[in-house]
Amino acid sequence: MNILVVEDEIMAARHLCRVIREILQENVQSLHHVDTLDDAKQYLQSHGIDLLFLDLNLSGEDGFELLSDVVSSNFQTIIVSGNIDQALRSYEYGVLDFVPKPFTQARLSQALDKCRPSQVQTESGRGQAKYLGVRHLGKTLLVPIEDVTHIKAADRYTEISLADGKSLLHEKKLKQLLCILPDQFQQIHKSHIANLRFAKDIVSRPGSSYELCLRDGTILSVGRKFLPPLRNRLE
Amino acid sequence: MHKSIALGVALTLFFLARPGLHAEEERLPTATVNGFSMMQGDDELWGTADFDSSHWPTSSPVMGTAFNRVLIPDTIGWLRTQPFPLPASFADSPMALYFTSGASFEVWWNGVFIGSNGQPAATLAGEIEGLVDSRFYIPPSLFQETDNVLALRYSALGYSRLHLPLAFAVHIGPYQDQRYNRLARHVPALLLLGAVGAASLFFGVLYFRRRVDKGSLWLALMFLMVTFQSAAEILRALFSLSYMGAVARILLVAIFAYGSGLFLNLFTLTYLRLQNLKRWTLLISHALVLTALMFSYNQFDRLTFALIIIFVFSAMILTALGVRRGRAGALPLLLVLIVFCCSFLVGYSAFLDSYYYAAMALLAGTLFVVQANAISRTERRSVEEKLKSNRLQLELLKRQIQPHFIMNTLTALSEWILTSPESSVDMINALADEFRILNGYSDRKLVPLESEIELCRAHLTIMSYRQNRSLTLDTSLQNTGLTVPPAIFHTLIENALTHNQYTNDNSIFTLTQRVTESGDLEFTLITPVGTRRRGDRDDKGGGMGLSYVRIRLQEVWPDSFTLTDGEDEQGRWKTSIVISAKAING
Repeated sequence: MNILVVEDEIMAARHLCRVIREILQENVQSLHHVDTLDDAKQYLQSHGIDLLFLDLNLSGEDGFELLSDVVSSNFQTIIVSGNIDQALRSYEYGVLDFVPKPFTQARLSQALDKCRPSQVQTESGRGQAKYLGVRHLGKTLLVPIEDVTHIKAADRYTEISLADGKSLLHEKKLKQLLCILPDQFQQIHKSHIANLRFAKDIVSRPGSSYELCLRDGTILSVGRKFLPPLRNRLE
Repeated sequence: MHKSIALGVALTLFFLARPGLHAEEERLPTATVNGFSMMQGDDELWGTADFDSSHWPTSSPVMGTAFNRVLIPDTIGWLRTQPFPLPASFADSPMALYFTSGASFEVWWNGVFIGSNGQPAATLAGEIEGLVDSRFYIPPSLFQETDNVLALRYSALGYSRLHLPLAFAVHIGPYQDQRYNRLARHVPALLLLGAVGAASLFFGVLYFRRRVDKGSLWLALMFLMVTFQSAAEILRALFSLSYMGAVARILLVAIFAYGSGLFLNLFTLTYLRLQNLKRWTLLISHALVLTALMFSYNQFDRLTFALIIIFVFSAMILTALGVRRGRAGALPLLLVLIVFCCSFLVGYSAFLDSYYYAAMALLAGTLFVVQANAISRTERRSVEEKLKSNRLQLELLKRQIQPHFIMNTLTALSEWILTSPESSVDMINALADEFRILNGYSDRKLVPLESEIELCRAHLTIMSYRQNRSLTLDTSLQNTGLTVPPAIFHTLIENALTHNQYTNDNSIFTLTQRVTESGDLEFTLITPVGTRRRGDRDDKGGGMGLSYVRIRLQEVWPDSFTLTDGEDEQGRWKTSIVISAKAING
């Protein structure tokens, strides 16, 4: 796993890196620390990462402005901060976890578990995001989750379809999105996630294939192994 | 709402007072006797009905009253009327003569002696003083429809020692209880006395309980003066007074009128926040008072009237100024004062006898309401101030337990415990120091500068451990034993640390204190050059922290300090606080 730690307090950063190494041990491919977000951006231009640890109260500035920027990327973000009152809002912005300072190894381990591939098993969203940060035309848009009808895997990206017919590309993969999207999002196919608030019914097709009709007329294929949990949810 | 109710009640009272008062009098047939011929000396003939006194000098009427000014004889003197008719209806019921005068006299009605008030005499030793108000029954047998003659044999040797003019007011009317009659006339004064007395007590207690609002004191005193003035008026109805008592009473009325007018003006100045005009108001009004004294020094009623006019007019002008300056409550007060002034037009006798009480009731009611409003405003302000000071304490408390600070410190501490237990002990001690000092600050407005410096150093020690870099504070102090508002330099240093990243291994903060040539106290805090953090490009740095410092300074040295900050020539951030010499020494 490639990890970047953004933390302006040297001793706190050292401690965080030490604990991460203790938990992940040989699973750490790279672990890099920077002081500022500018340095982080520079680092990200030349390095791909899987996980970002971020101290939200960076330098007294409003971290949420840059948080929406960060969550639109193709890696997951874990906030490590002393300001517990920002936790809820962080989740709404789509971070994977919020670890309050000072942290224990157990708590950090729990956060890291969330993004280990072996742990991602269920088909429903497990996050609390209320917005999806989407990079579009050089800017980061915050799209309300309520407007998203369904999400399709598209090459290295995902394609997010909105209720008004528009669609946007997101850098995160389907599995990554499921970690931060709320419960109403359900994986129905290896390359589809649907917002069940927009689901109308399941239609069976010849050859025992199944499709999910959305209220706006969109028809999405349903994978065989995703059908039983989907049926459960819709009943 | 309250204002309009009070105004309505008072106006009603005002318009009811006068007609109610006079209905009683008008039902009874009365006549005023005017125009006396006067002669010094004593002759039995002068008491007879037929004596012709038309060649004697005549008395002069006192304008606007029933009084006739008469000469003050060195010995005995006589007053006679020309023959005068009386309405026939007077014969239907027992009639009497009513006198008001400072003289001792015998009364001769149509040539017959009908009684005396005291005993007139040619010498002071022989004279027995009479009552100022006296009454003589007219036997029906002596009553005539035409050609009635009243003759008075009088002396005023005791009275003349007062150097006051002598006058007689004589009425003829049905024989009745004089005192009851006068008491009925003083009902408005009685009512006012009770109400205003209670109001005086109310505001007096209010002022002496807290001693903050001078307005309440002035109003209490003004109401007290009005109470005394009303009481002095009523004395006449309750007691039969000799001329000495009567003069003293009228003099007291004038003095209380002066007092109430003066306090009305002091209240108006305080209430409308026009204290800067106090000197001028007092100067001009007293110049007018002196003028009035010069012209009416021996006519106390007139003097009273003049004093009331002067002070009410002065209050009215001040209130008009208050309205122009948009002072709260000035407009209703102005309207009431205008109404008050209008009542002067009835003339001084009618005004003092009746209109005064109605006008004063109206004014007192209005003053009561405006001052009650002012008090509630003050109360609200003081509650707000208390809240503000509580907020500051809370702010300080938040500084102590800012979660971001504690959590980051504990996180760094975790690392130090693992790598260098000795350093972590130092860090814990510094943290304990910072908490201990801040805790001692909780409800203080000023703390010793030394303690503040200790606090800053404890904080820098903690931050040094957190950053693993040396952060220190150098001080250069000209004076010792100074006090400063709590945590102001601590806040400025905290601000600098939040908004800058110090990458040097040794960053030094400098606090300088000196007294300038003009005696001002100057503190300068210079923070070392660091990398400005992202998001701070235009921000002057920590608006919140700076406003905390400003509020703290304002609390101790209101409007007598300057707080400036900016980069110095070496690119360091420099904050300077200058407190004016006046504020420090005062």
